[in-house]
Parts: sequence; C-alpha cells; structure tokens
Amino acid sequence: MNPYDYFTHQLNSPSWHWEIIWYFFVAGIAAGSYITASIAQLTGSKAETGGSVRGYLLGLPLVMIGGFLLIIDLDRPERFLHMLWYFPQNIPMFKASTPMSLGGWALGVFGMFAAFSFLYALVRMEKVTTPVLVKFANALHEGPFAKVNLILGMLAAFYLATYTGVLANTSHLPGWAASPLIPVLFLVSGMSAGMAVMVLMTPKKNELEEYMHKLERADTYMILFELVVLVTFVASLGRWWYTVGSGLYGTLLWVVVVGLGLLVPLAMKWKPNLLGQRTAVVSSILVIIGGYFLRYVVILGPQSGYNGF
Amino acid sequence: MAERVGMLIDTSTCIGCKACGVACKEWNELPMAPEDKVEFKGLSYDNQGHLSDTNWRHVKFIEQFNEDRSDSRWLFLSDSCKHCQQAGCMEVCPTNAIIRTEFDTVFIDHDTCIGCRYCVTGCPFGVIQVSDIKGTAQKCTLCYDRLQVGEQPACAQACPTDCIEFGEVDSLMKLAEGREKLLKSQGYDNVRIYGKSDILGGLNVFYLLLDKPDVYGLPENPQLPQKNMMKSYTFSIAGMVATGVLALLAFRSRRMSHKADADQDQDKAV
Repeated sequence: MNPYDYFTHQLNSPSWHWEIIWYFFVAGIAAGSYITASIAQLTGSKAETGGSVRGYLLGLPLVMIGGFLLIIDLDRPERFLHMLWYFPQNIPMFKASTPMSLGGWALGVFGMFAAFSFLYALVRMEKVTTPVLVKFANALHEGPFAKVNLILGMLAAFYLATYTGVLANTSHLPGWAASPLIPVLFLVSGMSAGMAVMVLMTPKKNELEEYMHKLERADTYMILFELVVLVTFVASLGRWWYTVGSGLYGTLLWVVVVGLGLLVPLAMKWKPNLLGQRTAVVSSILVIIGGYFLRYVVILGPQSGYNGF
Repeated sequence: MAERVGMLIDTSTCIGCKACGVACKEWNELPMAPEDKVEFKGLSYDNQGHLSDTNWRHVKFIEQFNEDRSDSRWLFLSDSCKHCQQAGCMEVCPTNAIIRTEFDTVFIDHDTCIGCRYCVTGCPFGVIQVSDIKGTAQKCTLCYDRLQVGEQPACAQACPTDCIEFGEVDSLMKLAEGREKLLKSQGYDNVRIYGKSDILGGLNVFYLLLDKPDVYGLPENPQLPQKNMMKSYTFSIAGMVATGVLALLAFRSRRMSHKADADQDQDKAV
C-alpha cells in the first residue's frame, strides 16, 4: 500500500481564510441589497420607494470594506494595483480567462453604480441638497437614464454576487470544482441576506407597511430558493459531499445554515407573530448569520485537509 | 525564440538519492521550511512529503508492500513543476505574473506577483505555494538563470544516474520512446510516457513511469481549471434569471400601485 494518498494530498490549498469569507459575505449583501432596491425602484410606488431607497445605502460602504478585505488578504498588499494595471507594459490588466481579474474590475464598476445610488439615497433623505448633485442623482434614478443606470448597475451587481462562486469553481480543489451551483448559491444567499438587512433598516411607518410586506415576501421566496439550491448543491458534489456536509463543517451547514439560517426564519415568516413585534428582526438576523456561515463552510470545508491549509 | 527545452524524468533509473533536491535547494538558495511546517514522516523515507515554496523538487517514495510484508516494491519519482504547454497556473493568474520564457518554460515574475494564491488552486499537480517570507508564489524555474548562460538545470547536472535528462523536448521524447520500448521488451508491461500532448498539451518536464500515473500520485487526465468556468457562468446566468424573476414576482403588485400613483398624478394634473 502507498502510505501517502498522493493523488489527493498533492493538491495545495490556497489558504484563503477569514478575509475572503467576509469579502464574499459583504459582496453578496452589497449586490443583493442593490438589486432589490433597484427592482423596487423600477416597479414600486413613490411611497414604497421611500423605504426601498435605504437599500442603496449599503452598496458603497460594503464595496469599500470588501475592497479593503481583498487588499489585506494579499501577501503583497502594496501591489494591489497590479490587478488593474500591467506595469511591465503599461497597459490595463484585464484577463478574461481568470474570474479573479474580471471580479476586480466588476468590483470597481459596481462600486461606481453603488456610489450613484448612495448619493441618490442621501438626496431622497434630504442629507444632500447641493442642486447639481440632486439633479445628477435624480436623473440617474428617476429621469430618462433611470432604466439604463439601474439595469446596468444590476448586471454589475449580479456579476459581483456570482463571480465569487465562479472563482471557486475555476480551480482544482475537488470540493470547489465538483458542482457548478456555487455561484447560484452565493447569489441567492446574497439576495436573501441583502433583503434581510433591508428589513432591519426599514422604520416602522404606516406608509411603508405594504413595502415591508412585499420585501418580506421576496425574502421568503429567496430563502425557499436557497434551500432548494443548497440541497441540490450538496447532492451534486457527489463523492466530495463530505467536504461541506460532514464533521465540523457539516454541523455548521446543517445546524447553523439550514436550521437556524433558513428553516427557523421560514417558520417565522409563516407565523409572523411567533415572537411578537420582534419576529421580523430575529428572522432577519438569523438569515444574515446563515449567509455568513454558508460562505464559511463552502470556502473552508473544501480546503481543509490539503497541504498549506 | 530559443528551442523548447525540458526534462525527461526516467523513473526506471532513479535511485531515490535526492541529490537533485539538494542541488535545487543550493542553487536556488531555498531556505529550510519554517519550524512550524517541519513534520516527522514516520511512514516513509520521504522526508519532504510535498512540493512547496521551499522545496521546488521533491523525490516521491512510493513504498508498496504486500500484507505480510514479504514482498515489496519501491518506486521513485523526482517531481517538480512540469512547465505545461497549457499551464493552469498561468491561465488563472490575475496579474500576468506567470509568464512563458523564451525557452518555453513557465516562470513566475516575482516583481509582478501579488500573492493572491489563486495560481495555487490552478495547478493540478500541487506544485505552487506562496512563500511566507517573500509573499510571492514559488516554484521551479527550470533554473532560468542557468538556461540563460547555456547551462543545464542544477538538478539534471547533479543526478548521478542521468535519470533527469535535460534537453530539447522533441529529442527527449524520442529518447523516452526508445527507453519505453526497451523496458517493455524486458517485461515491464505497465511502462508508459506521462506528458505527451494528451496531457495539458504536453509537459515540458515529462516522465517515463513504470506503472499507472495514479500509483505515482499523478492525475490520469488533468485539465485546465477553466474547463469548469463556462458551465459555472451558464449556471450563474440561470441563477440571475431565477432570482430576478422571483424578486419581480414578490414586488409584482407594486407595479399596480406604481400605475395607481401615475394615474393619481395625471388626475391631479387635469
């Protein structure tokens, strides 16, 4: 017998730890909240948009935090600009064959749209009153460019939420490479967590009741969809299911992500008075915690056991 | 462009002396592994265990025994970067820090590398690791500095049995095919060349193996990591459509309220 299982152990782990988990988490919430707020902006009534516009407050700060996390995760953080500029030839660094390169650009592009919408939210909340800025923000969200701006912003957000999964798929670690559902899982989880944060941000006002009801309904749809995608994902891992589904990571997946992060919030959506007025708050917090631990399990589980982890 | 150079590793003549590993360490001034990464490997004479940032060459010891240990077979494989024609590390590197040299070898530009560690996951052979000391990705350069002055790599020069043959890849392949025939005629039925064009477009550092690749811990059919990428993007698009539709469905009656708003505004205007 060969004393070493050379085939599996010869692969190295990239040693991606907390910075990447938190980056994937905040990027998911940034994208999810932006998409939800944009859909609400495009389809909603004026009164309801007063609530959904708060979702725009999340994108920009979270993208900035995400960018910072990405930089400090590098072993040579002072060289982060090499992601965007190829200094040996003084040309932009853009490489379609690697999701990491596209992701770096997507973060910047989404950051721009998130900044526009952040400004718009401040304008709507009367925190910014400079006429030029008001005119600019309104033109991009209520004027003739609203649709183009929001649809392009949503596309950038969708890419930001999914490329992290494509990044994991484009690798040789079996637990990451075995199932193409990781991007879908991260997207749906980002949407549900983003909506949960928006629920927490919405003040209790009569005119926002209908908006809250619909936001919670959207969150319920996402939680249900996430449950389906998650179970399919684990099944689609085949013989590598144990990398996320057993041991410590399995316990976190089944108890924290599925149990506390999806099933309990679903029960609370079904029985909205379970904890009185706090039901929506508790349910949203659980969804957010579940979203974090989903990434914890999917990022760390498949790396564990490999050289360098 | 200079000729395409590489190495033939003939495992039938390797004696596991590890002179190649020592020469590699010396020439490239590779430090010993940090204390926390040194481990005793009581099951094997293999005291390195793995290619790493400090071990660019590793002699694998495949020690096979039957149940009562009355019969045994030792196989050795002097392992390193294969300098693949389709190099996964190079494809995924987001900064173009991994480049192909004029000798057709794969080289890491340490002034450009940012230490993102994505190349680590792109290599199907577990060759690359990022150095804790330098903060950049590390692997065999095929002694690029020696090639530039017309010398052969240090490992090839140090090998006492010529198990590591350095030279032009096409000539080495002919040599390997000749040895394969010879070994087959001597009864080594499982002998084979690993690294022809069917493996990642061809490996510049390729192997004459005495048994199947998985016995040596080599993947039977390694692929570029990009083989998953398009499927992954396709599923992403499906996911985008599904979540977009679900969100729209949840907010669907808002369009009605929006219309009501518009009607109300119109009424007021009238």
